[in-house]
Amino acid sequence: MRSEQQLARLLRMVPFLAARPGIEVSTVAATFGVTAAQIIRDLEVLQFCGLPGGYFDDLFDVDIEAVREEGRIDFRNADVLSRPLRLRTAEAASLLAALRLVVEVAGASEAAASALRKLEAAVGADPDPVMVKVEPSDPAMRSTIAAAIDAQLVLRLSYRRTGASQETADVEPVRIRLVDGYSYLDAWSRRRDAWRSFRLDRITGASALSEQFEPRQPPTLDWFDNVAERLSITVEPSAAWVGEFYPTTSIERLADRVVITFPVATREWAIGLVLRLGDAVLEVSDQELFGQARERAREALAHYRAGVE
Amino acid sequence: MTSRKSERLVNLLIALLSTRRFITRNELRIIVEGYRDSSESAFERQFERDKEELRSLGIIVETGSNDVFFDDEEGYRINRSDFELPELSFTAAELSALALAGQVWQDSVAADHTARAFEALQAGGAAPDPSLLPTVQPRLSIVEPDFDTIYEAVLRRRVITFGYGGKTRRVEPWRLLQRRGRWYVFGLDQERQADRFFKLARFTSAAATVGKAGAFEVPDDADVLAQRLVPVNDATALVALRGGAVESFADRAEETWRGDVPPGFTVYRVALATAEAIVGECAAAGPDAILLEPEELRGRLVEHLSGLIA
Repeated sequence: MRSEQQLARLLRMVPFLAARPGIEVSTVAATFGVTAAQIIRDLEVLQFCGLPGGYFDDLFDVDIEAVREEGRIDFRNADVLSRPLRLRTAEAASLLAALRLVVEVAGASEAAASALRKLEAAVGADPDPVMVKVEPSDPAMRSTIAAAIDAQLVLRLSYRRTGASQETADVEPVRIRLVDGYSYLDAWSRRRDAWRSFRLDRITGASALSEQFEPRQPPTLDWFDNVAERLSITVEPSAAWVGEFYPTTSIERLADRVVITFPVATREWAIGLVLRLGDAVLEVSDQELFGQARERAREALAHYRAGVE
Repeated sequence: MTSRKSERLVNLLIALLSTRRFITRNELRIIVEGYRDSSESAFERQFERDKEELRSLGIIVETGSNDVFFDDEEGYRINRSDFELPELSFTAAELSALALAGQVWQDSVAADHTARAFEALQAGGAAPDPSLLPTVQPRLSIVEPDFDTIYEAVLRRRVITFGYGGKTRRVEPWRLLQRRGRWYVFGLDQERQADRFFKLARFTSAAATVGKAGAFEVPDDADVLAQRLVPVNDATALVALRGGAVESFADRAEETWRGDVPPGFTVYRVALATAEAIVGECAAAGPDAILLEPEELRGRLVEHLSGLIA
């Protein structure tokens, strides 16, 4: 396995070096994800390689002493390997699956789609062994949102929240993000005066206004993950399945109950989750939220007591 | 070993690459430096292993004879167009899209493979450009510990075994699928001789590969068969909904109802994968959903909610 990796690296390093005379060893090491010492060892192998015959002119030309002293590589006489080894099956499958996901999420980005077409043509589009499915959202709406992000235009969104009515909000959109199969729009909500994430499949309408917004200090890439709000729900073992269906930060299995901790995107979502679990819920870490969920359960039950028929 | 062996492999590759005619074993033994000092039998063994190494990199080593009329000794060569990455030219925008793809896989063997693919692209003159501030952030988090084993098994077509539902399964993995953030392997359960889905999060013992690579063929219609993972909605109910709760049921149709419903509610026939899912969805909607029929589900929902306030 190791030598296989070295061989693949050598077959790509030769054309890489030949096209970049005088390149620094550290740059090469960073590009190929190995140490500078390994690059020197690779060069020690390559200096004895080249066209059959073994004459001086047949071999690759690299002065390893000079490389050691100057930290730069001049690699010559490498026409016989002027193009790199093509992508291997695993490499092509991994990159293509990733790029397909970018196309799916980016939607409007023509560049991602054309990059994908070029790559597929270059590696030969074998059937895809890895398939990632993203919850569908309306492509036309996705492009409206993507265009507004690029042009920094305020967006007017209509969206629905779990178990609540339709709402609208003016937001400053900055990014579309994929988490666990769902796409989210990260935006500054003018109504809440805070960063918010909106699940794309819950946005029912989006239109760009003519107003341009001043870019704010964007939220850090993982601000959503760092949100302090976590909710622990203790459930009966029979309801442990819920840990497989939603993102969790921890699952603690005890003899007669399971404590599951969730990152909380919105309170409405968390209340809906408690209601969904219903009689399997033993404890909720946030008493106020538990109270709100119970209140909604009472209101719901009132329908049935009143005898709807 | 390895530096001598790598050297020999690179020289073998160049020899096979820089010829149009097929080169015989005897010729290779003379022109490739690393073979010269080997005995006849040592050379035969080395050469067989070396050919396999090249093939494991996806390099196609052709065999054939130079003269079709005479029963010539068999020779070898590598077709340059099979070996080389074709010329690729990407626009600046395409290069940033590629860089984005480089961030998709997090902490998995798939991330390593993608990094290797980037090395090839860079060697070919296309450098993915991560400098643009991304407005899209597609990431796949992988929490299932067996992901790497199965990923490699799918790509190399190796049989896997793992514990599932109280039994040890032996499966030919055809496809690895992600749905709603969870990973599934789809393939042939050898004991049942039927295709099945297995959720990685439900494995009860670690997955292991058994046997050789290329051990089975993936059927042509595997992708079509894999579509079945989309849950089938075969449970239905009559539900009165109001406000945003309507949108909680994608599969719905308005229907008339013999009784009355409170003002603001509309009656729908809704469908979901299971009866439990309908109860759960109605519960989550709180007072914005009223489950009307069937009677049995209605009873379950009342019980479900009553337990919460008891």
